[in-house]
Amino acid sequence: MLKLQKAKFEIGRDFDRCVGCGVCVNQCANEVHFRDPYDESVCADDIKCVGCQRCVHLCPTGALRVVSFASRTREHGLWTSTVINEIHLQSDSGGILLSGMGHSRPDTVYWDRILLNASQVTNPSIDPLREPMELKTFLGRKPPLNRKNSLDAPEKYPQLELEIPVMFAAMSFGSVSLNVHKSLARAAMSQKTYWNTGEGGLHPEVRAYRDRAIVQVASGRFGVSPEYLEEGACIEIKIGQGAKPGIGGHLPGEKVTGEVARTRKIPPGSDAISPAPHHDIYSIEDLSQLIYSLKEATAYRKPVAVKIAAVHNVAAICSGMARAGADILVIDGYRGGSGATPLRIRNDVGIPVEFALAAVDRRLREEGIRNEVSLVVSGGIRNSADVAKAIALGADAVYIGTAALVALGCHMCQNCYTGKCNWGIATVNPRLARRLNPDIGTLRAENLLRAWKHELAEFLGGMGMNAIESLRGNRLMLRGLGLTERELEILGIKAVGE
Amino acid sequence: MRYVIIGGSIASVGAIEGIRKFDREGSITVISDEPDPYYSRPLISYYLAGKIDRAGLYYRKPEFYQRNRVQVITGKACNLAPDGVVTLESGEKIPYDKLLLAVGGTPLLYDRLAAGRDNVVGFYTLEDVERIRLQVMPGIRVAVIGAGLVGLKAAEALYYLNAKPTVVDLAPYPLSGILDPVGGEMVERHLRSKGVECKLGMEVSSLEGTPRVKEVVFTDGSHLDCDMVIIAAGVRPNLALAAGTGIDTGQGILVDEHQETSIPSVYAAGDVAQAQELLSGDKKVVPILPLAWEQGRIAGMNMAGHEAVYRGSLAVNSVSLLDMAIMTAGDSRAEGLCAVGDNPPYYRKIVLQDGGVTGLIAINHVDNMGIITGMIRKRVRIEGHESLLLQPRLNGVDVRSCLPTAITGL
Amino acid sequence: MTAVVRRVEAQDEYCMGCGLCRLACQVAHSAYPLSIVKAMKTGSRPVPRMSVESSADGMSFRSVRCLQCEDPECVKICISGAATRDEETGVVLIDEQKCVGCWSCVIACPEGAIIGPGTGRGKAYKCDLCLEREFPACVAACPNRALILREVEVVESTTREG
Repeated sequence: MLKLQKAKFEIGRDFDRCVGCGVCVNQCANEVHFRDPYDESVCADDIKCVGCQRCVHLCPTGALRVVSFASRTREHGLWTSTVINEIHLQSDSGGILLSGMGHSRPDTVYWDRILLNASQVTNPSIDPLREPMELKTFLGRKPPLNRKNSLDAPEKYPQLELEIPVMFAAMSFGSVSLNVHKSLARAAMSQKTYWNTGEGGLHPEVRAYRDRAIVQVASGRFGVSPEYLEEGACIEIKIGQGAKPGIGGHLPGEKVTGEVARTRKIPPGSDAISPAPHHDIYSIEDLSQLIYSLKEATAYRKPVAVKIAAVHNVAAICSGMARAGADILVIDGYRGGSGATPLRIRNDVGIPVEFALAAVDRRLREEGIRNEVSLVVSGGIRNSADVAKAIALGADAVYIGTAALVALGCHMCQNCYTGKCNWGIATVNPRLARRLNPDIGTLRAENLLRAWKHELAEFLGGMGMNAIESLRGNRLMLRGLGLTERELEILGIKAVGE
Repeated sequence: MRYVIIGGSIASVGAIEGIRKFDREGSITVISDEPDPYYSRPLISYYLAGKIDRAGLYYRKPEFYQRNRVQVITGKACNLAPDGVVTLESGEKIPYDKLLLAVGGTPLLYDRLAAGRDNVVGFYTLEDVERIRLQVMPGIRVAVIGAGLVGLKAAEALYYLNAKPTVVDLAPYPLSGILDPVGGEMVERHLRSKGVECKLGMEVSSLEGTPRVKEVVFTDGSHLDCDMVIIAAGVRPNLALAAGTGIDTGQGILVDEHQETSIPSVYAAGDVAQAQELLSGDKKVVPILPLAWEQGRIAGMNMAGHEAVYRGSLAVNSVSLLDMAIMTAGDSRAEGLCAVGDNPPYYRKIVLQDGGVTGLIAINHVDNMGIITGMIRKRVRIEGHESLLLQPRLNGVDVRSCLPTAITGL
Repeated sequence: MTAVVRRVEAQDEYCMGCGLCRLACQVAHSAYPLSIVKAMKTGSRPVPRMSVESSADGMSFRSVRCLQCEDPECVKICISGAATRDEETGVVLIDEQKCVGCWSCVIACPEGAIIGPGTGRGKAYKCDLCLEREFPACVAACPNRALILREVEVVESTTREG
């Protein structure tokens, strides 16, 4: 049968420059490049290319280009080449379209429609190179304002102390390589923030970084044990994920190799299936039971976070989570990434985190409990401006997952689910995982955090502030550009010029 | 301290280097009957073939003696008094405090067969090669008696000179000293495919013709016409000097782990010495260049008062013969596990004893073979991983992961 | 006397078998050390002084080069005096002019670091540590820091050999 699926990329090889060294051949796990056995020349099979750019980076003579496949279907506003390709792929295979990473449609990115303020004349800006700039952030439950002696018994209010309000999001060992965990864990250690184990347990080789680890408990309960809970600085219950709200996780058996199996505490080769729901949670009360079970198990010495995907009634759900005992609420917007998600779910379920954040912050303030819990958002945070805007919109801190992986070398080919990550990130194949030297990964992740620290300080100084606390929930520092009145109202910000 | 070294070849070079490592002051005297010492004997076939020039024969730079302040006396030592005096044929007496006998060997068969013939030449010294060079010309028929390493390298050189060599040996296949029949026959096929004739399993009875030999006559009555005869049937240790001195000898001069003979302050090294063999622990004469240098060096260091222990001889041979790479190490002729292939002909054999490798034959695909030699030296146990060592391309990564003790870094 | 000598340390764990070290080595030892394209495409291909090996299952790799032993087997076994060890730099060298291609060093080297029989050149080649460069070419080319240049202090005797 003629396959209708078309190549997405084409490989351009400048044969004047190609010296036939074969690095493209040995680096491509998708077997795009190959040596013709007849004449030893290097050839390419375009249709297998995922566009990860590994060969382009590694080619020592710059002989390669990976460009979008030029041949397009006739222009049509609705029936675009992408739409047609997807139908062809499904009619070739009969399967669900799978993808990795987050939402891919070029919908409005509301962060880009929100602009930050700066001081002019009436209040002076501060030069962060001359003045101290405080980015320190505490996450965890705070005592209610109306209680007398609210500062008593601080041990009841365990806190996470961050030197930058940016943490590394949950990515399990198995979905990513151990070298990714090592890189992020070490960077979190040195930059004094936190990394998240994801639902895959804590590998012995990263136990050294447990003081800065948030250990996740999700519907599959993989890797969970009293020791595991005890080892984390914080426990995160994962209810949902922005890339696949309402969907469970599935790590295929072939990725459950010895190390992954040991860390997850499951038999090697077995599929690691995280159910869509937690089978013991059907209500806020059930959630509360799990939260308090975990708190009991760890003697109330660690904050417990609950992470959900941003869905339509996120505000009410978050209110319930706060009342159920969650110390940190984590909202993952529809742009959040994943190692594997059905394409349709990824692109068409859930809401942007900007609105979810604004709605939750407003709801909690209206209910008078915003000050008692911490709010962390994630799902498409790309740069320090997104961080600053999220904090001004009411977040205490953000998680970055995709941005962290991009720092480690990810090129967003969105084929994480194949396990053939040529950059050694979304794979446990030892041939590929060794490509990420954690010494380099640590440095790159640290560099990203350092750079963002500098930029956040610049934003704050520009607004005449010297502490991130002053920006938190400070919507006056935000203006909307090209947004409808209703959107402005939900976001709780004024339009530019107002 | 007066050091006297009889012999100027590789063991002598090793001894000079060993002495000078610890003693910059003492006087070193080398007595050599060759006017051109310290050339590398294995290179004479390359010189004959014209692949290297005369300068390329030297194992060390021309200023070697000068830099190490060595006095050279060209002459033949004829008497050795254990009280510390060497007497030369010229009558000159040379006193010593420490003496090294690095007198090498004498070619076998040569004296018996060559007597009085112009066109019968050995293949041991530079002088031999110079004689061959004067006689050899394209098309000349040369009988090379001895199909060992030396004989075959001589035949190869003649082949490159467009002469017509025929290799003659009593053994049924070439390199019988280091190869087994499978390997030997592979080498024989290779020689024949290149046009080098082999008469094997034939015993030479006599050389006929005077003053020039015209034919080689075998014990079975057959004969081989030739224009020249090269005798390369191996060497035996040169024991003349040691005779009557009280120095213990077996096949060669017996030495201890310091290369010292039974007489204190008298050492021996190289082709003349019978030193401890690595694998068996017995004392054996193993006349190969690297061991000569090593023994000389050990002797030299001990002579200079620094205790150094010889680690034991391991026979290791490598030769490239008409573009066929042939390597052996250790007990290469014993029974072992084999792999054979074609295009190019390929043969690998590892000999196992007590779970470790003790012998190796490798013909072609010889990259990385040193890893196996290292295993022999270190007596690495390889149970279960034998097949790794038999693959044409020895995979160092797999060897490392399966046999982590096999390879140690610095 | 102690001397500071360089060594290349290979972290096999992070070797990904890309072979860029080998390519850089070839180029560095070619007639056109500044141009990969010219080095590789002009005349016969330059010979690398090291090799990259892959396990049979293709899962692990190793960049192999001379360890610059202090008591090198290749120097001991060399029949032509081509292999020498420079006592000042601690580098073991094979003089291409003197080498006769007997492969004695190949059977002697326990690291498998001598290049030769497979090249068709009839000469043995080995790592010279690129002493004239700030970093050995292989180290500079490794994209994953699997090769690290170390400065090691070694105790040397006062006598030069060779």
